[in-house]
Amino acid sequence: MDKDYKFKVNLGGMIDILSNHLYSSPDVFVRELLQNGTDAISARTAADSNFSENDAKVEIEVLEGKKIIFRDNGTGLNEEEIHKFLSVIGQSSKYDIENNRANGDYIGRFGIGLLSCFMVTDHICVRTRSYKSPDTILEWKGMADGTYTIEKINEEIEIGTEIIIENNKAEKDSDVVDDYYNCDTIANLVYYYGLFLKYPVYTVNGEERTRLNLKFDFDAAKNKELCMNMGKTFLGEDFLDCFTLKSPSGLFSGIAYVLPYPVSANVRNMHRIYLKNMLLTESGERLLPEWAFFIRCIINTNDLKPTSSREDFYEDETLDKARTEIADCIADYFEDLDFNNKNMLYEIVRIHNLAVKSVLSSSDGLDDILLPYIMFETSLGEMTGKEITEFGGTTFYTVDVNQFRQLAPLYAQRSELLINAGYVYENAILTKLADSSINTDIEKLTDTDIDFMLDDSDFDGDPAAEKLLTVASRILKKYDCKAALKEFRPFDIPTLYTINEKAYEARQIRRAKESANEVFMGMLSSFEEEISSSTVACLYLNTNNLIVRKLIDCEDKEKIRCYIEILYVQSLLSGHFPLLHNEMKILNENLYKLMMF
Amino acid sequence: MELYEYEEEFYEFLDPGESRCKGIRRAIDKALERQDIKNALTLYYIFIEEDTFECDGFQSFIIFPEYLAFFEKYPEYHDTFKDELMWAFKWILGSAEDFYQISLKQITDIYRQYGEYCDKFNYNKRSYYRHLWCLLDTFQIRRFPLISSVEEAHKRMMHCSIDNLSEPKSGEIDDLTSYTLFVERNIEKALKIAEPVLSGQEWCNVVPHYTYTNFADYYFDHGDLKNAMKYAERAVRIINRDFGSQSSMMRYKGRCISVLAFGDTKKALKLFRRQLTVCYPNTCGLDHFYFYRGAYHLFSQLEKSGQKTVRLKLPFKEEEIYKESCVYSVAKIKDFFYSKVKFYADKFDERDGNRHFNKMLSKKYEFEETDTNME
Repeated sequence: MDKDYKFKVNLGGMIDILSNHLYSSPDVFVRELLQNGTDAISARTAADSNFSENDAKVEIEVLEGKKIIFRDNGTGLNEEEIHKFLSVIGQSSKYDIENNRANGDYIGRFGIGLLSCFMVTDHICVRTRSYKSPDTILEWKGMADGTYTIEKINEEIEIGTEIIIENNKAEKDSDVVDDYYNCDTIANLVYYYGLFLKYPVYTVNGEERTRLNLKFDFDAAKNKELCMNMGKTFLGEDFLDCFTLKSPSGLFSGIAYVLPYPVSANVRNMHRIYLKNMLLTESGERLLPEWAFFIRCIINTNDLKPTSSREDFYEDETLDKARTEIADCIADYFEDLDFNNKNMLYEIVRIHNLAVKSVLSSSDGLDDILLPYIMFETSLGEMTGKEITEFGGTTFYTVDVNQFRQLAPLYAQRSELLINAGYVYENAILTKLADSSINTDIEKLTDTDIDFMLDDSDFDGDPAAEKLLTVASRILKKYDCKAALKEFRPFDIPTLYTINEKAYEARQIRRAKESANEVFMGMLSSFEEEISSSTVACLYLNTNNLIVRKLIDCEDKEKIRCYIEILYVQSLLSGHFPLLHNEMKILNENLYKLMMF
Repeated sequence: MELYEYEEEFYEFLDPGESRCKGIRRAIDKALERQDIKNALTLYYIFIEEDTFECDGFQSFIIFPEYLAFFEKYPEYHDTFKDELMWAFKWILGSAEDFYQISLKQITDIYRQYGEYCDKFNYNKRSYYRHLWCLLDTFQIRRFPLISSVEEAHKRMMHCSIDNLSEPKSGEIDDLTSYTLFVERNIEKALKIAEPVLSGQEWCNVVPHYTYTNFADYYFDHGDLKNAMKYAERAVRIINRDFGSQSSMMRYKGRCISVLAFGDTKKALKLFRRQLTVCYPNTCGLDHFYFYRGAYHLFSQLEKSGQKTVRLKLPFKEEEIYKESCVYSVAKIKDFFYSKVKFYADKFDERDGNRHFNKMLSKKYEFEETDTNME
């Protein structure tokens, strides 16, 4: 049973799979042929000393509705090469088999590109004349069923290769296929895929030749107006600004565009990515760092490895390196703006506040440049990072938006700074701001800080007030809360409820226990046991407030109980704390009692 | 009210993690108040997802019993919302052992109940066995040489077909890699299995982060610092990129700090400084164990290199060691983090009834070439 068996391959079926299922649209046959042509020219430029790059060309002739001929004046193929490369699926002349690596100058690397023509024809005819044996002209004919023929022909052609495909597809949507046998369609596809190709691509109509691709060098993209126009044409936006992307190690070059409106971090920005000047994808996502979601780009790369679907790149060290270098380019751009165009930087930060915060939260390189520009919501209105660091003294921030809303008026009354860091990325950025700040200490707000911020009450030591405090503490004990007398503004806030993180968790646990089944009950109790020793919740009674003052004078203990419990629940509600079942009940019961007094 | 309206009103722009969890909690309360059963059920799930992937998972344990009870109250919605409930349950299951406060018996009970729910809603037991072998791996293979029960659970998992509760492909690959590394201890096979993840063809929000760290750990434990560094550096890069300001990857960051401490102390210190404040509020014991073990390794190496002082912004203001000047003696700070990690090692060992964590803590790492970059 040790015999080795070999797979049997249904060649026709294979070709059908490769040509009709690997590619997303028949359009790509134009890309594949352009690729083959330009690769052959690159090879000849390198190998044939009699050939000058200035003479390089790819020509496309379309006989309307009937035939398309692609010509290049590249290396051409001799018979051995035809057998080896045209007729073995998965083998490419661009692949250095012995060393098991792709040749760096070429775009293609899978040896299956030619098969894409079977999406629009049933026969492919290749006529070729190798620069190595220019006396022989060969014709290879490949059929969709997997068979092929080769013969010598007498017809005169230039050194290079011409590929002829005819409109003879028997199956599939013949109307769709017909559309490709049209000069405008082909010209549009060349424009789409090969706009930035190094060698000129022409359509030929009799004596008339029209160049289809641009003479544009990404490496020398200095003309801002031209670049902005390209952005509008190819990415469809009137961008706010653009800058060049140039890899120090030669991995890529291109243009990055700043979007003129805010975008969510979840929006996938589609970049137009070229591989060796041939369009790889216009929906590339993974090349830019994730935080750069406010930027779109047109970029050409020579060294990244495309996936076999050719819509993105392999995650490898080269891609990591490219991402790092792109991040550096963006950092350089911001640095340049900081020196030369502060207004633009303010504008970018204003529009892309979220994105810039994202940049800062995930990388260290831009802290010095961008932190001063970031806007924060504070108790004293909107402030920039620079204004905060210059404020002096100790300032606090909270990551709880509701706590900010609850406390901001109190801090504002005292002209003290409380920063809202509840929104996305702000916690991380404030940590950095705190690290970079010399004049101002920026600290996360704790319940102790709040206690310290509130003024001691003038009623401290007053026997009636002390009595109220004792009664209130007793009433609140069952809610794991203590009472304290303080003075604060605004006067119309009678109470303020604060809770430390552990006490907050304890509240949540008690709430969960109200409905937990027995499997989880024990677990919740274990958590509660550990937390309860460190819980602190406090209800501050504002002795500046009239209700509290009336309570100090009140002698009726039952009335005090009612008011304290109502104030307790009211302060929970105004602090947006979720109520436990019994707390809502208490509120109703006490309101009812008040009516009965 | 539609789900997106809850999102817009309560948590859309909130900071991921703690802040957003609080926002989602408020959205749940709003939905409950409105008797909006469908959205309440989904919001419970969203809360647990947020907490699991952006926080430390602790809040999930508190809210899940409430979620489960609420779900049970409305059998007419079971068909529509069972997948969400079971995924949330699965995440709870996956991190139950990470909290030393949960006893072994309680963990077993949670497993039993998850299994019962799988049966109740006609899921196969693939996800159950997946978690079981991971649990057994943690509790037995690394702690006792009892391989057969892990193998049995793994075999049973492989016999169940993929269903709605199965991990995405990247997760499956990561699991299998982990099994091959830590149970079979076959590095060549593990590298082959992990290839689609390591080459970037398969990924999700926590893979390859986990995979890189597992390889780093494996090599670190087997004395191959060069390879450990290679994977730890990759892990750090990708974790920083995706979870830079979150504490949810704390244990992975800690494990990487341990490796970097021996290979590139400067990098380890930079990572530690950056993550200390971020990770401090985390409440998961296992996360703290690995993070503080990393700190202990780091300051041990710094001390070994002769460095006397280190500048740190410690968040432990209530601790005796805290100094306004932020300058600490390396020896003292090493001892401080040792006491921290020891606390967690003891807690886990007490819960598990063995000395696994203490053994891990006292393991001596010796490498031929180490980097002892000083500041």
